[in-house]
Amino acid sequence: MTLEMAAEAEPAAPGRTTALGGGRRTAFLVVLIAALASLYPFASLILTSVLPPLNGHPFELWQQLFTQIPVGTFMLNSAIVAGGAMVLVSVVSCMAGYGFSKLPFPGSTQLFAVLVAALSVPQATTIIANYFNFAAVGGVGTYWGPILMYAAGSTPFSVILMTNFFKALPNELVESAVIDGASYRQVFTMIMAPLAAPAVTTVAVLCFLGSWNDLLVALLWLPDQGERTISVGIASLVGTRSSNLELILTGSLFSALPPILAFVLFQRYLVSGIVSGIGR
Amino acid sequence: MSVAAVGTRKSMEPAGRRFDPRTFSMRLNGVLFTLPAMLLVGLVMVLPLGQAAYYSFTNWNGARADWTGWTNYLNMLYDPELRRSLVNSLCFLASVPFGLIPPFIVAYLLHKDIPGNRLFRALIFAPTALSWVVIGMVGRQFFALRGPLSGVVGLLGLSPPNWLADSSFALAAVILTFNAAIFGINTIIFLTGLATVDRSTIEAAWLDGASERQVIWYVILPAMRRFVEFVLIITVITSATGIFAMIFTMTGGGPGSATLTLEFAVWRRAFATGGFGAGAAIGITLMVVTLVAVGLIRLLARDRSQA
Repeated sequence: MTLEMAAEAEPAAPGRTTALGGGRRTAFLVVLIAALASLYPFASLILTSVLPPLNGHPFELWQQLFTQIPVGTFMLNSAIVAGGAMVLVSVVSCMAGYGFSKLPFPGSTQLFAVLVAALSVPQATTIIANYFNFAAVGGVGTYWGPILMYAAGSTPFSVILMTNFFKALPNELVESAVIDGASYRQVFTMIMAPLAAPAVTTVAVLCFLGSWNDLLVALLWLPDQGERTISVGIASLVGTRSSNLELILTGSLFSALPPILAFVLFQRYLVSGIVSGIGR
Repeated sequence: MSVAAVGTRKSMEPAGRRFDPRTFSMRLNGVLFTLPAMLLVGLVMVLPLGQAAYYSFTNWNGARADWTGWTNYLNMLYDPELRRSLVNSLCFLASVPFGLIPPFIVAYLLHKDIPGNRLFRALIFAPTALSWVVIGMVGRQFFALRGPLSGVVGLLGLSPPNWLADSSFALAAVILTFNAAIFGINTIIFLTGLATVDRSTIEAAWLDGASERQVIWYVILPAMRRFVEFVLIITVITSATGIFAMIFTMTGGGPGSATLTLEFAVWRRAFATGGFGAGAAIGITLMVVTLVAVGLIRLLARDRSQA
């Protein structure tokens, strides 16, 4: 114990204790400041929401939020569209990843290139045409409209991630099962899909966060009060109750709870998913 | 081992002209398994992209679309609001070093084995959980007339402006908020990159008497070049195409068009004033600007690695 402490107290010599050099005290201070600054948004949201407003009592803002704004409906709507998109993109990208990696067909390389190219099409570029297309088939003002929009938006990235995941698995897995009489569909449902659970989790969490946090599509597709997602519900308070920024911040904090929970639970998958684009 | 690999390879490859039921089944299943994803991308990305390209040459108002040639694109330069949005988007692009350098410094310092390393890492990553809607709201409060920033400026004995309502401060405030918001994720990606750098190379450089700055510049940065390039590209793409919600909740593009970006201008032109043809042209311009920026980064990154 004392020996360890003595070792700790010894100043770090550059190139010895750490490969990256000395200056640990300054480093500690800078990192501490950065970490404290990172807490600012949370501190700001939490403090604002629990401090009493002018002539009010503590937690009054939470009370106002639940009585004046249908936040329950908003949250449910968000859960439906984000959950729907998450399930859809998980299934679709897992299937496509299997197809592209293990079942090559004439033109599959070119199709995959289309997916890679689709990565660089901004949502804003296609939003107008999408809106009119969906309106033409009755997809505006419905849940399935945004579900398809969100799922399609995260499909290119998700399929690429799944394809890379399956490519790393040996072809013999498929081959031997097929020789033993399994169909390609059985290989997928019984071998490949279960193996892909970690990658599917990454895809699912990223899609859920993206869909839950989206504003543009929900704003256009679900404008009616009863269908609004929580993001739209909170964002549209800005115009109507701009004087009550405190209430809006309380609502913002409430809206952020599910993504924060998902973030805490699946942080590992998030980082691996985000940096997965680098390996290629 | 190699025999098995060859055998597998042979059966995975298309079997020439002769009809082979298993190859056929594999190809058919390949098509069927990729079909749902390709349908989604085809109908919700490729088709609308084509339509947007077409409508960008028309004065489409939702009902009629007459061919107007390059008018919408020339308006990007002549229409004061659109010109402003183009300039603002370029300002966002120019601010990218602010979104990269502080995260790199903090990641580098975090990578030294300082006490509380894991806790700090978690705290710094935490704001990434917040949506752009929420970040915009926090920014709105930070820069509010009676907000924290004005409070500090007031303490210094100065009279603070109404930051977000003042066209000389609003854009800077929005850009600052953006760069603060991406600090956490960029730091974490840099940390991931630093973890891939070979420690023995760094130690060799130390032993050769290199200074810390030299080690960073000549050993660490080149070794994690792909990560730097990646952070640069996602920062550029996010700033250009991913912060509609932040601008919506923070300033709504205002005052006037002071914080209007290309991305936000698509929405304003198309859905607030009904100029769908013009909106489509802004959207295509946005895509081209982003692609050019990303292409330039790739090109520069390649040059540096060859030099």
